[in-house]
Amino acid sequence: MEILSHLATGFVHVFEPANLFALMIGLVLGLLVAVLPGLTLVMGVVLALPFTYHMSVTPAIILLTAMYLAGTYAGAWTSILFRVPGEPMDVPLLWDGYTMARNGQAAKALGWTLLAALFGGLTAAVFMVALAQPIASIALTFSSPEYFAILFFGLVSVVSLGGGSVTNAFISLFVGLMIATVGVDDIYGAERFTFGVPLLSDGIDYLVVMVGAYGVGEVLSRMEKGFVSTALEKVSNVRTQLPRLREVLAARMTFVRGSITGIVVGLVPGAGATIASFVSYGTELQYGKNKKALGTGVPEGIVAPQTAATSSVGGALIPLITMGIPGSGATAIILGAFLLHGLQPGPQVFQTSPQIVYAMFASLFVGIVGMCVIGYFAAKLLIRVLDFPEAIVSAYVVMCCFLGAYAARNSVTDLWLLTAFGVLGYLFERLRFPITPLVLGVILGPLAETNFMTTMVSFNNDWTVLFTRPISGTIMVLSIVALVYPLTRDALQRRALRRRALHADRSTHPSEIS
Amino acid sequence: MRSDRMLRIAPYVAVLAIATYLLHKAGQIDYFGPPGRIGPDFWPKMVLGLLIAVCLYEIVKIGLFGRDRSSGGLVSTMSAPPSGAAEPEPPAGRSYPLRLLLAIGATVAYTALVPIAGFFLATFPYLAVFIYVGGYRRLPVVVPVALFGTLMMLFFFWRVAYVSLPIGREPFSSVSLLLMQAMGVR
Repeated sequence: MEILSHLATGFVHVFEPANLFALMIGLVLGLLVAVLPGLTLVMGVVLALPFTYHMSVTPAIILLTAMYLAGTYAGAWTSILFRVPGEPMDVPLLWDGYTMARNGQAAKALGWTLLAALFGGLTAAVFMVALAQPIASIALTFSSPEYFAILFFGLVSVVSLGGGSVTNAFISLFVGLMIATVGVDDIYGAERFTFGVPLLSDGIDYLVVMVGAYGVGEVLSRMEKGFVSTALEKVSNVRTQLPRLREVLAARMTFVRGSITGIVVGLVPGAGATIASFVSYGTELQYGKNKKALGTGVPEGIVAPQTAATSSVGGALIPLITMGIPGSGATAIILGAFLLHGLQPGPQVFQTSPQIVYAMFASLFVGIVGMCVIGYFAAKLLIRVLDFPEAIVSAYVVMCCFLGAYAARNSVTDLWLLTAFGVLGYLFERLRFPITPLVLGVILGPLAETNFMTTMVSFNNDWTVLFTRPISGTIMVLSIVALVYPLTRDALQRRALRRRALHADRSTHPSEIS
Repeated sequence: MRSDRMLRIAPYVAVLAIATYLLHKAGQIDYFGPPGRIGPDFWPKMVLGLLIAVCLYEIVKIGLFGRDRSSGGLVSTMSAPPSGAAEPEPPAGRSYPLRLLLAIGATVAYTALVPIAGFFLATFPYLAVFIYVGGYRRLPVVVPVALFGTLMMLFFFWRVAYVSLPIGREPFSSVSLLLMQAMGVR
């Protein structure tokens, strides 16, 4: 009851003109960012941050959350209509969405996308509101070993859940953790890796790393490719046609599976909308009623990834709000906005600033509906942004990166760091080292180190305490399973293939073997 | 074949060299703490140790056995589309390394120029050069777009967000001060 009363107050706050304006701006910017193939969701949220420095906390958080939410939706339009995924999370959408469009059902495919985003988003928002306060109450009982275990799980999952090489992901993560050690350490006040540069004593701001690696790095990568985007097919009529109730009911289990997958994946620190989208499609391929038809242009192939992508937003906000642990790049920026305004998300925030937390929750409900309304009526208009020359858009993206990095501390040294991390981000992309583990290493590294050191100090350097306490022990074991799984899975698969090949060989040449 | 392997292990060797140097530096971290308690060098040494181990693993794997394959994360195993499904449009194959080098050079020059020439005098040419290098060559569009964008950003950050952007050193600062006056910034 108390939760509902807080939520009602949150709705009142959201409908205040300044907050509603921030919400609308956030939604439109998020949709635009998702449509542009060169701009990712995280980049968009990063670039918007400096513009929120002088806003009050509620509209700033609402704007960034709305961008995060809308960023999971509009990339589907270009995926379905042009076979150009706006975001990596939109790749599974084109497997069926584009095929539907080619079969003359583009409007219907867009309708399924809209409905999936609406259902997934609202379901996750309900879960978020229902779960946040109880989880925060549990988190109040956590001590440093539990926090370290959760952070360790987040660091491990970003490696084991992502795409690409696990070893490269580890290298990226360790580089991120090392960047986070630069500066004066919290416990002893010792200078580490400052090389005599005074500004490095304050450490390297994770925002500079994020803006450089995601923003400047991505622009440089696209610059090398000449900003040549794929020639878009001419789509004469972009409109959205909602499916019939009967059709929706037939796919109801896909909606439910996708939403739950999205929430669960979103809850895991280190996982995000892209992983949710792929995992949900994979689950549908395994368990879906229509699994054999997937890939031929069926609605389930759109509903599964889209519900999961949008519902992952609600899931990802839970660890941020309840424990102060950002599980993804976008939530790290939202954490940055909280901190800039002197608010520390965590279990206490429900006691100290419930009005801000519930305004954020309420904005998610209003935002989801607003996003779908904008999507229904303005998709055609927003897609026109693709006609804009990418060289100009990219120049402004780099400029926003510079302004964002500079405005945080008014320091020119941060501009040099930004340039350096921009080049590093480009090199990482070029050499196929994933950037997300690097960024999460920088964000979660200081939290992980502080909790690790506190545990060691409190328990006389006895690291086994991480495994002997029930909650931290369970999470540590889960982390180790997550760590070992990708390493052993390939070996087991290779062994199974060898066995199968040997078996086939035996059956074709029985005499030779006997 | 051998040069190809060398090229593939080069990034790991570079990271290994930097990590080894940093491990040496970590051994020189000065601190005062009670005996028997782990110090501020423990965490970086642990991370660097793991980094070195992973790099060595990759170097040995590629350098000695020529194996380039590595275990993939969960998404890499799920990212295969069902048979017959549409695939994303393949990206254009051409590469423009000169453009990239020019863009990096312009960015480095901009970073160096901002504190000297001020935000306006550094940003306007930087934007124009970046757009031009990026392949958009219509100067009658490039110049006004860069100029208008720079002025808009100045206005927003000076008048709306109250962020103090660099005004530069004399004689360039007089241009910034003139613009501040024109925009009504005190």
